[in-house]
Amino acid sequence: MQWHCDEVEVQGTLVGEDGKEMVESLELWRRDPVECIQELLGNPAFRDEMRYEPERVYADAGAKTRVFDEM
Amino acid sequence: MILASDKTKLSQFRGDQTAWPVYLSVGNIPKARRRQISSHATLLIGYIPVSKLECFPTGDERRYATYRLYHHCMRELLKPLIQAGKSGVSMVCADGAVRNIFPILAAYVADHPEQCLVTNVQENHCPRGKIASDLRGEPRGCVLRSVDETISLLEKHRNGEIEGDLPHGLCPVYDPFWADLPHCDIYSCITPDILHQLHKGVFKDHLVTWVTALIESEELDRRFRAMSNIPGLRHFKKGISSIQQWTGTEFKEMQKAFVPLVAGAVDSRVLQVVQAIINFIYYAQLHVHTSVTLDALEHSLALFHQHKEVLIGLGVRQHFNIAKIHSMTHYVDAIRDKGCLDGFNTELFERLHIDFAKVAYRAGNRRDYIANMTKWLVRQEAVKLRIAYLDWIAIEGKEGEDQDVQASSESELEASTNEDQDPRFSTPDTPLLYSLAKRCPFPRRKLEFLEEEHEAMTFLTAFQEFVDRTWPASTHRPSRITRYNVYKQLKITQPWNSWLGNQERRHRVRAIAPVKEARSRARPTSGYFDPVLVIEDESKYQRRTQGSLDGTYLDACWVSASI
Repeated sequence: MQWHCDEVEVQGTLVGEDGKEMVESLELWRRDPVECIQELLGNPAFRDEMRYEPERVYADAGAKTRVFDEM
Repeated sequence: MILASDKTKLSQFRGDQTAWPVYLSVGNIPKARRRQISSHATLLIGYIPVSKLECFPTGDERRYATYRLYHHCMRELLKPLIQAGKSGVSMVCADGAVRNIFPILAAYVADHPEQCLVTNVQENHCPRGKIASDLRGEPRGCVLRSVDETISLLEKHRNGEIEGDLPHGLCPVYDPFWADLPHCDIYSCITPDILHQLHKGVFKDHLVTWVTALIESEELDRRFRAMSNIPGLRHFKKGISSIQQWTGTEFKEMQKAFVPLVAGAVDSRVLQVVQAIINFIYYAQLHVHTSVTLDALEHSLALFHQHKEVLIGLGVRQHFNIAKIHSMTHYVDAIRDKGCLDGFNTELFERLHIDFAKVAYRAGNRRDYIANMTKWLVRQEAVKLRIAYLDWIAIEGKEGEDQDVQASSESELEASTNEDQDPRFSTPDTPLLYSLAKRCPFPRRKLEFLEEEHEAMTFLTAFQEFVDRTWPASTHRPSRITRYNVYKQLKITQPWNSWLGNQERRHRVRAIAPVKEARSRARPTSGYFDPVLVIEDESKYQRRTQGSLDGTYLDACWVSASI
């Protein structure tokens, strides 16, 4: 997965030595989150454990006690 | 989708080298796997730039500028997710099927200052709810914030319709990154943080301080030192006031012994407060919750609020308007919404810092370090991918051979797995296991050894009784001349308890005789004999503990009478 570097310019309110407002240049390093999700969902190591749809889990047959453990 | 971020220092010696990594994981992966560093279930997706922003004057303006910088960067970082969340992206999943995936932000794991940064709230307010900053000591009244309301308030402030400070403690940062994310209720995404809020905050910074104010710290130390030495409990030999480095383990060990330690030294009403808080902390950490346990959690919190006035009466506190204590009110809702809190542990992400940030930093020449760290990470991931691929090929190759032989029984297997119960709720069939040392340290000892060294005077009569009861038809009976193999300790494997996690838990039972005379350099030590509770009548035990929650997760050592 490719890393991208974006330049972020922050313009401040304090005035610098040249009489203009100070500008700070910063770098944002990032990767595409959609690609990362693809990586995670497609990982065959998780094949048996992955859940693809939400489910409601109950502790007893009468569905009286709800269980909350995974998301 | 679960996001997390946490600023971290990269070096202890050179100042100002900080990184601010952002991590991503998905809730489809079970939390036990997400917690394992080795399973690579959490990925690093970016580094937010860290800067002192000296182009702004110190104070509110600089702080708001840092907020705005963060939100701008997060918006850039998460931009591809806006379209993906609206229209879906086809992805190949782990089981080979292709699904249309809609990534939605469901949780954001961070400590309190970052939670306030994410939700755009002043630090003395609650990030999840709208309660006024001076009313946080009350148990009720914190209504969850609403994204639509916040966005409209921000717009009005930007247009000048609202003047002065924004209500509900909001900060004037007008374009939060979550405004455009589809179906994102950022306020419910803020998850409780057990390590910082409960262990460090409520327990150490507040509860222990209150108790220390009531009984002196020397008295507390003396009580810690007086604890008996039991395997599984840490013995604070020098007391607690001299500990410099507090980590999660120290807090947990202290909590294990805290209630009995302070019982008797403080007022019984104060003890109720202590008990309520410790119960809350333990319930919050369960790996599986049911409506029953959540009610118990809520009940502990209610008990705390009911009895906390006694501390005001004793002069320990004037008010309870503390952010971390207030955060406890949101725990039950968060668990109902997002599942158990062990899936949102900040400890995991702090541990990931070591692998992703600190090791990566040290691998480079410390110049232009973020760029080097990303390059290092790409190479590491490539290597790991290759290794995982080779492992996978090896397994697939073997499975392919087996499948040719068992092609007919495949359909049978599928039918049986559908009927299998969820493993969380099936009681384990394995008998209780115990293990002893391979080589016996004291083989073939006479009865006198047991009577003198171990001071077990009634051993012979008890043993004879046991043999008569268990094997009444046996012709061999123990007598005074029978010899015994004596072991120093027994390790018992506990049955699997899904409430507490799925790791193997073992208990150690020791029977070590005291060393009286010093041999060469061995100093005389006192003996360690651990008490064991034995269940003699299984049915009576089950009946008595039915309905009481303590019976299900009490960490008592029990040995079945059949061993």
